[in-house]
Parts: sequence; C-alpha cells; structure tokens
Amino acid sequence: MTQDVCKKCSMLAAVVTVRSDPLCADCFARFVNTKVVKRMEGFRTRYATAGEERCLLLPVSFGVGSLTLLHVLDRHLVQQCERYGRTGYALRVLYVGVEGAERERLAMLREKYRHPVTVLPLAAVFESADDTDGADGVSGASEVDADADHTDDADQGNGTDKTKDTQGNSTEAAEKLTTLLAALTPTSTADVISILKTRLIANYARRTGCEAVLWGSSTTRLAETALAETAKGRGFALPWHLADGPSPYGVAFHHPLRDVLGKELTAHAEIVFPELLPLVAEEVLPRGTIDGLMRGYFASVEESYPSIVSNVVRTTGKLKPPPPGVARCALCSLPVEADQLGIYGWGGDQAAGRGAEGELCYGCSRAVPAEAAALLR
Amino acid sequence: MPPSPCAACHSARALIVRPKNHQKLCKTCFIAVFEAEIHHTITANALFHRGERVAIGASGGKDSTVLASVLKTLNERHDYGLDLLLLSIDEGIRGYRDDSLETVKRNARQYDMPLTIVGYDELYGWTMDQVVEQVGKKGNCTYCGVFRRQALDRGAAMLGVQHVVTGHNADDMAETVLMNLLRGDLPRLSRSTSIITSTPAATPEASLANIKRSKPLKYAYEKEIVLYAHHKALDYFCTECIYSPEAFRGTARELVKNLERVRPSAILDIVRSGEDMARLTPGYEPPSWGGTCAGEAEEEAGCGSSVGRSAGGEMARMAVKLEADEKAGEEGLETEITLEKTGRRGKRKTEKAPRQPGKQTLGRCEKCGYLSSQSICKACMLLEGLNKSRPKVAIGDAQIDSVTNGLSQASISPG
Repeated sequence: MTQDVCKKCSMLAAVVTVRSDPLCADCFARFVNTKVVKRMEGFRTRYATAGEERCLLLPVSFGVGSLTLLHVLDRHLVQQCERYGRTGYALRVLYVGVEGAERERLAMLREKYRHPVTVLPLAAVFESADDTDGADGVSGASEVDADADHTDDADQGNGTDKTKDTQGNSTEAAEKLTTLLAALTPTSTADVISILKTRLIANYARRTGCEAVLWGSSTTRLAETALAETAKGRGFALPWHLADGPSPYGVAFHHPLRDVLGKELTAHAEIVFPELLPLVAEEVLPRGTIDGLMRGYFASVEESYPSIVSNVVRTTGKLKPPPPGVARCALCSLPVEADQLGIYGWGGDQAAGRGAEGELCYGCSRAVPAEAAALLR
Repeated sequence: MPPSPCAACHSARALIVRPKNHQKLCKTCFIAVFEAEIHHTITANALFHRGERVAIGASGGKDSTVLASVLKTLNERHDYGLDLLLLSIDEGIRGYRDDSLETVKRNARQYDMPLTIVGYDELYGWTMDQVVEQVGKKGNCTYCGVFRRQALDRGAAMLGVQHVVTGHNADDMAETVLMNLLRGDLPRLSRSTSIITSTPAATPEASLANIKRSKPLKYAYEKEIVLYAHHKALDYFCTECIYSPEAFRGTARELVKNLERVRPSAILDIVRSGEDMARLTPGYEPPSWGGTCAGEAEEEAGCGSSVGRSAGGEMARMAVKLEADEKAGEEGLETEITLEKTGRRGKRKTEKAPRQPGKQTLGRCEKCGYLSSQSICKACMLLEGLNKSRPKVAIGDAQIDSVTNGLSQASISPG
C-alpha cells in the first residue's frame, strides 16, 4: 500500500484519516483549530468592548478534551493579540480535585499556559457560601483578586474569623459528601459526582463573573452523555446537557469541540503537543456503570460508524428545552415540573396510589436513595 | 443461608427475584403482582372501553401468548366487557411460521378465543418463501418488515375490528428509544413511546384507518414475561426466523441488556426518558383520542417477537447514508462560506434553511388506501417490483387475481 498524500494540500504524507480524508499533520491541526474557532465566533475581538474583558471559564479535568481545548484557545488568543492587538475574551482555568494529588500536572499547566488556575475540592459544592456568594459582590471581587497560584481554601488573606468559618464549612461539607457517596451504588456514585462537579463549576463561573463555561466535550463525549442520561431516566434534561447557550445554572454553556470526535482529539494530542501527553489523565470509568458502558459502546461505534456519533448529537440538539418548571431538582438543579418529581405517578409506575413526591427529578431519584436525599437539603 | 420469605405475603418461601426491582416473591404473589401491574397500566391509560372488540396480534411467541392469557384473566376478573379474538399473520416461512401458528391454534382452544390467520399470500399474493426465492436472502427483511407493518391493520380491517393490541414490552420500548436516538429519528421517537397510536383517516368510513393500536405490556419487563409464562405453564413457541438469524443480535438490544445488568431499573428509566423526550420533540402534540393524532403505524414486532431489533447491517447502512449527508452538508457550507459579499446574517439564514427537517405529510396510498407519506405506499411499490419480475406462466393470471382479491377484501368495510 502506497503512502497516502494529504487530501487537502496534496503535498505532504498523510498521518491521520479524518472522515475518510487522509490529512497531513499541519492540515489536521488546522482542521481541529477551524472547528473550534468556528464555535468561538461569538467571542471574536470585534465584539469585545475596549477595557471590558469577557471572562470564560475552562474546567480542566486533564482529559484530552479539556487540555486540547485549552491549547487551541491559548493559540487562538495569541493569534488575536498578534493580529488585532487585543483579545475577544480571557480564560480562567478551574480544576476540581485535590491540589496535592495533581501537583505536578498543575505546575506544568501553569508553566505552559499563562491563564489563572484555581483548584477547588468537590466538597466545596456543599459549602453554604457557594449559594449566597452568587449574589454577593464583595466575595466575587475578592475571588477575582485572589492570587491565581493559591487554592481558594488556602487563601489566607482574610481575617481570622472568616478563616475559621470557612474551615468549618469545608469540614462539614466534606463529611456531607463522604456520607452521601457512601450510600450510593457504583453507577450512582459516578453519576452524582459528575452532577456535583457541574454544579460546582457553574457556581464558580457565576461567582467569578465568567460569562460562560467552555466544556471540552468531543462529539463522542456528547453522544455518550445523551444515551447515558437517557438510560438514567433524565431524558428531559438532554437539551440542557448538550446545547450551547444559556443554561439553568445562570451561566452559558458552550462545547467548542462538539464537532471533533474523541479519537480525533487523541490523534491531535499526539501530533500537536506530544510534550504534554504526560499531562493527560483520562478518567477511568468502571465497566459496571452506565457511564462506563456508554463509554465503551461509543468507542466501538466511533471506530466503525463515526457518522452515527455525530447524528446522535445532532438529533438530541433538536430537542427543545421544556418550559421552565416551578420546581428544581435538589441534586442536579435542573428545572422540573412539580408533577414530575420522584419515580411515582407516571405511566411506568405500575403500583397505584402514589403520586409525584420528593425533591429530586426522576433520574436523581433513581441514583440517590430516599434516606440519603435528606443530605441534599 | 435460610430461605427468604416472600416480600409481599411474608409467609410463603420466596422463589422468584423480580428482574425489575430484585424484590423476592413467592410464585403466587409474583403472578398476582404481575397481573395487578398490567391491570393498572390498562386502567391508568384507559386502553379499553366496555363492549370493545379487540384483536390480539398473536405470533405464538411468549409476548403475545402472555398478553392473550393476561387479557383473558383480567377481562374475566375485572369485567372489562371486552370481546377478545386472536389475529395472526402468516408470512409463509416454512419451518418457522407454520410451527408457531400451530401454537396459536392451541392457544385459541385453550383460551376459547376465535382465531383468524391472514397470510401474506392472501394479502399481497406473495409468501416470504417466494420473496426470498425472487430477491435472495439479502434484503428480504425489508420486504417482510414493510408487509408486516400493514398486515395487522389489514387483517383487523377485514374483521371489522377497530382495536389491535400487541405484545410490545418494556425491553422492546427501551430498545426502540435507543435505536431512534442512534438513527436520529425524532418523529418516530415520539410515536414509538406512545402506549396508544392510531391511524386516523380523512374520511371516517375508510376501514384501513381509524384502527387503534395499544401495548398493554409496555411497562412489563421481558424477563418477567418469561417468568410469568413459565410459572403459569403457558404454551408458547420460541425460535428465530430462519431467514434472519442476525435479527436477534441488534446492537441496541445488547446495550439494553448490559444496562439492565448494571441497574435493573434502566429499562424503565429509558422508557421514561423516551416519553419525556417525546414532549421535547419539535411539533409534538400530546396524544388525544378522538382527536387528530396523526401517526404512522409504529413498527410491528420484528422477526421473533421484539420490535426494534435490527438486522445486522443496519448500523453500516445508516453510517453510509449519514456520511454522504455529512459530505453534502459540508460542501454546501463551504460553498456558502466562499460567498464573500454575503453578510454574516445572510450566511446564517442561508445555512439554516436547508437544515429544517422536512415535515412528514401523511396521506393515503392511491392504490390500497393505506396511510402513507408518499402517493403510493411502500408495500405497493415493493409489490410492483416483485410482480414485474414474476415469470409469466399460465398460472400468472390466477396469481394476479389473488392479489386483486386480497386488496379488495382489505378494502371491504363490513358492518
């Protein structure tokens, strides 16, 4: 078999096949860049008011998606600076986890890219300050001024009393999280952790004045989410999970990598920034969870039938969000009709006599047992 | 480990672990709970009305056998006042359908229900054995699927019955929801999640329309249906279609089974998601009886007894089509992008226009009167192709008459 020539430039040897087109390294990198930049149309320099910088939050999980997005956007900002002398937006990076566990990765991140990096523990989602700070300008300002090299919890710039209060909050929140997770099955644990991360990230974005959250989800990841949420009973939530634009969390969600397949991201990382490969720590999803099953399923679909992956995302993108419900799920915070709370009172509940009840949507009611749900109040 | 007492009566020994929720029950309580749940589904959704004549689509498989048995039991116990009968379709596959129909005949005697068997040769002039001889094994599922989709309605029309019940279970529904997401078929997602569908007619007299379809087992797990059949010692037939063994290996089916293993409620959870997503589909209207609920008759159960099972090559065929669509789309976009003089808004507008999903307009086939989005329905088109290729021998005229007679009979509206 002769070496394929790049379909686009017809000059260099092809190193990767994209949608049946062989591409060289340069054209492939351009392909990915183009897909992302096209999705960032709304944040071009012409839309930026002088002196008023638009802030965007990029949560980094050290998966190949979020790292690729960070890399591409970092280049995009440099490019905007060189061409127009200013940028259309600024990036803020957030990592949810324990600083100590990822110290080396975070150090490389800070060294390689010049954007402020914040680390938050997952338990922070339960700190009561999260909810009240949303409307508190003072805390917001304080947050923006915080040194980017320190975690919020390690911030010693406040008075003694506040430090004591914060620490009390943290301990209580951590205990709450531990108790909650201990009551769950493996598939529920993965589910709940994912939900809490989303809430924490959205709260942080809102609190720090970020206009939008940029998720590093590929086409494949979005398709996995669509079928996984369907299997968990959250079909009503698909528009919120997959669409770009306003979200129920009070901050916009965008998925700039939504047109790139997961396998293309992996190939891109190997070609464009191999020196960062040690940084990649793909999340391992156990086979015995719904998310893990969907990860495995779409890995094979993507390999054989990539068009179907795109089609799933396109299809669910056509679903329109439900009218804003009066109630909100106590776990995922999504709007729910009051008569849709809980797992009773619908056609599939074949035991007569119980109606909608509780404070959780159908999917979260399946994930969290009733006794543990009290922790969410 | 001591034997567990039944979770319901607390006295008898538990012999069954419910697949749906892993509850431990004795045999008597399991049967009672299963029947109570079907009853609740029937009453909560108001599937039947007193005096209604209902045809049970009977294939001899476990789903339709359990459906017939449960409906007979509940009709007597709760006095629904239904006139129940069995309706079977004979595809004309020797070694498969003839054996399963023997099972249905025994069921008819056991349940004391009248049985009508309508053959493909009677309706279309062709048996599946003859179709396979003509077109080969590859692709014959397309013919069978298209013919089957209409056959129950045509059979019901011949009998003057306005309501057909089928044995679609929760596993079938979950599989269909996932398949429709993978196919990108939102309109069908909406229709397939309804427990009742109908094919309304422009004129109320037309007998091929206004036939109601419902699925009383919609929320019942397949495993529980098997357990129920086993513990009631029901007589049912179990085998694969000899022309389509791949039909049992559909990708969505395997996925549903794996999900069920991880979380038993996943099957119902998917059904619930399907219902919720149906409400989010653009152009969705809540189902209302006596209203103008337009919908193509949902796919009939595939080979075997389960809807949504796809032939092995379906994923590949879908992928090829989607890839072609994607290429056309990208080329279109590239063309639009090169229009330098077009303003940004103009681009967006032109981009959006071709993306609007074509709305399905349902009319009626000019030839047979069946509901169709084309002027001639798919079955008639396939028939036309088959008939053109038919060898012209003396017996040909008789066959043509048979086709005509079949269609004529289907059009008659007795009563």
